[in-house]
Amino acid sequence: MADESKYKIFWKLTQTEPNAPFAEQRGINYHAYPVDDYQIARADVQALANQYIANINAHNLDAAKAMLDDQCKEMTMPGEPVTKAGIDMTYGMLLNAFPDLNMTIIQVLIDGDMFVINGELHGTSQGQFYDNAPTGRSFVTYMIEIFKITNNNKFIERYFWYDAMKIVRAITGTG
Amino acid sequence: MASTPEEKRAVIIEYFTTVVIPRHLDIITKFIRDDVKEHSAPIINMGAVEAVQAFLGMMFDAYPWLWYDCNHLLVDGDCLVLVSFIEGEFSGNPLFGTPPTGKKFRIPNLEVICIPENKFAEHWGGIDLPGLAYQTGLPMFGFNAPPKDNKEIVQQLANQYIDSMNKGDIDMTMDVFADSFIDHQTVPGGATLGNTKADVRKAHEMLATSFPDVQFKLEDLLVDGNQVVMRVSGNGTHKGAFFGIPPTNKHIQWTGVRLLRFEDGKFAEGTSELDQVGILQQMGIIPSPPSMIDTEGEKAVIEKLVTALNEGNLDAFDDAMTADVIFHLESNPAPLKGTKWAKMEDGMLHAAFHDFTRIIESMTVTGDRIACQMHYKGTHSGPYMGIPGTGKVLDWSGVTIDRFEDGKIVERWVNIDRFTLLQQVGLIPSFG
Repeated sequence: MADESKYKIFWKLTQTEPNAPFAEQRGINYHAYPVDDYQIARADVQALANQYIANINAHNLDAAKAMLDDQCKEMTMPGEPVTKAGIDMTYGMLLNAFPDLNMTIIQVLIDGDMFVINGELHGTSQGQFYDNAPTGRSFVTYMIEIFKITNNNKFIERYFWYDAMKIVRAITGTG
Repeated sequence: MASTPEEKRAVIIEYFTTVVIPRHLDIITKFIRDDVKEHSAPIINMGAVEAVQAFLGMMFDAYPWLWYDCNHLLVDGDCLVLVSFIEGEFSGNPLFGTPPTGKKFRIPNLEVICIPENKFAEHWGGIDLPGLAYQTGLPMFGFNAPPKDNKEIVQQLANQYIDSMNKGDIDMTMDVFADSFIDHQTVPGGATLGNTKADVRKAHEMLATSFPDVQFKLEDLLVDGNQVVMRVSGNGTHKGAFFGIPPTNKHIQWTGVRLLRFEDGKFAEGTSELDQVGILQQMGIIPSPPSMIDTEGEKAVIEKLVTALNEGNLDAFDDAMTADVIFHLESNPAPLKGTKWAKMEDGMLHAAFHDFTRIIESMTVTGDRIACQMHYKGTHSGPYMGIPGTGKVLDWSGVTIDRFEDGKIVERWVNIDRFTLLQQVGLIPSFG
């Protein structure tokens, strides 16, 4: 049941969209819409976040994927949502390139049924990372991972970002 | 002061409506503190605020239209989390040196912004840069790069092959071979080894066990289409059994050539020639051959040198020897480098013995070395070792051993019967 008193802001900003009148090019449309939030205690969200972080640092991707709902929308990769495969595509690639990958936490932010891991990734270049052959150099980079929790305490949305350029600069010795 | 979640969200919305949408980057400092801690500056070597301005400016120039979808604006304490997507089209100015491709993109944009008051004080996150490169045709992260020619890829593979063997990283070594790799030359003597990739791995593992400090060097790389020739040299200490030969603790050197066919970024098949006989000779398992050089040519070099020196042409040393030739003289404990020492010694002899002459009595060739039994003679007409000329005709003997490389003497050992010479000069008395 949607809590009509709670709204999430949703907006779309248009900027010089082709063929649009000038006035509309400078327009901004944003509106609120009700979100069927799952009511979950902050402490429970924190516990789920801790469990997820522990799974990643144990390199147990199967356990991490088990925390995702079968209908989880993977919002990270280009193209169609890839559901649970997003974990393999992101952390699988990183673990292949950096077998000693480790996540440290700057802060875990919680807002309702969503949590944000604002952290750092540490590792050593021992495998191919994009077009970079392994160099043995270490790196520290920033990462953000965001989940929305649904009513079975599983994750229904996943977002992932990390500073890939910072890794490339570190392992290639160019910055 | 933005203290409630909705007030913090309002700061972000105002930032977009007054700075990002109208592209008024000049007023960005209204929203960003001068001492902002920017953890994800896309442009380095620049102040945080300037870096954000520069990056957004590049984006705006390259992407004439942009569309922001904000899925969530989360707030926790002083921090606000922007969970959004950006859509656009690469049809404006070139970006990172790449001309516009006309391709559209949709990429995630996640940002954590701390807003303790009304301005951004700390920031993490940004756009999915690899996703942007992949979708819009930017040659970054290995996406959309112009195709490399085989030689460049093969050079990388060859470097990986050599570097990984030197580091003992067998997995990286095997990574250069396709899974279906066929080795047409199984390791000589390796009766238990076949010709699959797994067998190649066993051979490399055995080499690493036999020579734990093994080091390889890529001496030459030839690429013609998909045909590859790698000429390598290697060396290592024989610390483990090598084809059943117990460790000798000898430092062994060898050369080898690998012929390979390159396909789909890996080596698909190949054969190799390794100087195993040379290895066994150095281990002392089989005898060395009597000579491995063009002895007639090397003998001629010595004969020509002796003839020239007998004519007083000391520059002949430079023709017969390399510039950094090493001399081991019995009278000098440390080796001497360069022909100047030979010229100095011969100059002194010619000054003391005006008709100084060398005669080659015999030559013995072994491997890359030639030993000469020498007879020296001359009239003692000038001071020698402090003894004025006596007018006597003296003669004495000696042996030189020369080591050759590429037709020139690179090292010379000299032993001369100076005792007899100095006795004849009168510096040493005769005994008995």
